[in-house]
Amino acid sequence: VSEPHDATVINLPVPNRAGPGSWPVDDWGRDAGLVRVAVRLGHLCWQVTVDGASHLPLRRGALLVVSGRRYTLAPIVTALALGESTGRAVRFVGRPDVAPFGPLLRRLGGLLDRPDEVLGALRASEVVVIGTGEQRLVAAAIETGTRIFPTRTTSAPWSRDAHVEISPAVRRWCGTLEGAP
Amino acid sequence: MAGRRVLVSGMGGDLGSRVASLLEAEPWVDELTGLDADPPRRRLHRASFHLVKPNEQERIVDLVTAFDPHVIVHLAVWEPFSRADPATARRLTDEAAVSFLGAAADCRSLEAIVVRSGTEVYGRARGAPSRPDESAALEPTCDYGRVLASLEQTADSIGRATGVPVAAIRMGTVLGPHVPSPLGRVLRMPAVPFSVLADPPFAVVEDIDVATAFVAAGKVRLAEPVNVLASGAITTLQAARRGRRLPIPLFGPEWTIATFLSGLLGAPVPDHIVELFHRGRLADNSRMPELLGFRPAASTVEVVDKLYAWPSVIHRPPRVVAA
Repeated sequence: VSEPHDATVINLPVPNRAGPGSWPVDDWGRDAGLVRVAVRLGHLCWQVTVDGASHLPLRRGALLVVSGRRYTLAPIVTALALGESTGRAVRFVGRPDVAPFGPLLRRLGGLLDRPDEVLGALRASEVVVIGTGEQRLVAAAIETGTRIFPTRTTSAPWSRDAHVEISPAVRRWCGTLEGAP
Repeated sequence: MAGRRVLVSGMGGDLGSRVASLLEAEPWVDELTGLDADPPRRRLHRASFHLVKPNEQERIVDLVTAFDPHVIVHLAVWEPFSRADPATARRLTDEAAVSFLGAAADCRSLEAIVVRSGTEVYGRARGAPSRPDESAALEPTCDYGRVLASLEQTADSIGRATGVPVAAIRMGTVLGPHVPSPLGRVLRMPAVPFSVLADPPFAVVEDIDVATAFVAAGKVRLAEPVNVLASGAITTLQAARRGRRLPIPLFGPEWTIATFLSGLLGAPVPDHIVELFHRGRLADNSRMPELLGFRPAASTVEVVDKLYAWPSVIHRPPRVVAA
């Protein structure tokens, strides 16, 4: 008779045989399976390198403010590339709320361009990418005490190479605004 | 805290009788009574019950004021096409709100009111927050949402007038083996329609978790609204695939035909469920553990899996008594 002993059950990953559209979504509607497909398709057009991901917290939320003109794909490309390099669910702000593009971008991690939407994601310790034209959304990071990371994106129309560079956080939020009454 | 009298309106429904059975086990509940137009759907040991229609206002006021409860749990809400058509559901819910909450104003010992509401109160207009928290504005865009928002408003005004804290449990769509849920009926049909252009995510909650939330809200004397939903989300297509149903992709105009056919087949689809199929329905439930001290046991995906695991109705021929 063998001695009783503690056993650990390991759940091995089961291959997902379901097709697109039936992959699981998270609390915000992001579809990790579709994101993987989008990243692979993106590799056909761009080769995105990410530097400075080590500045980001491992589990806590972060707000990345990327350079780039309005209506460019910089936040989306940054979110997808960063998600691939860190393994975290990275969300971007600025999806429309009109079918079919709105729901599609939601599956890729898109959030509406609303402070309360960003606030909810940061409160849940999510990583959120916004463009530089969205300063009013930064208030959400201040309210939740989330650190803000300036991020530079560079690309050229005649090259497949694109670069995302994350700088250290601008400051650690301590709960009160400096100079506030 | 001990020795409290608790009144449950709508005790006859599945949710009401579940809440009552949980309240019976609470040490702080001394006396428990319930009122409804239907008798309770499960065996209760300590509770007393009064069979009363929502429009019998004078009788309800007499019963409620005679009991003089410390906590009122108001569950007398009819979801459209759950047990009544939308017009009847609206009328019954309004009558029950006037009768029960109006009677609450005359209860001297009253310490807390807990009302049933839903995430439909936030509305799903274009550009509305896709995952609203409790601070989001109430801008309902469906009939049921407007009824629930009006109910919350009535409860709030009575709470302000009497100085009693009011908690609104804004729950996601409730699914359970005995819950008459329009969404559950549609998802269990052999073929399930879904919006091919959007197929947005939604969250649900299991009936036992909602019942626990009501008991917790009454216990802690919650004085604010709280979203009660299971974690995670699912889309209609995913649900149909998990249940091995035939997904029917729809674009737009054919939804009218689909909902009509669904009604003919015994699963009428009210407008708040059509809205859920088109626009999704999520809400931020992050404050629930802090306010109520519990997390739902089952995730959205698990609740939907259970939905498909329930046995179907088996029709047996009547027994013939031997002469």
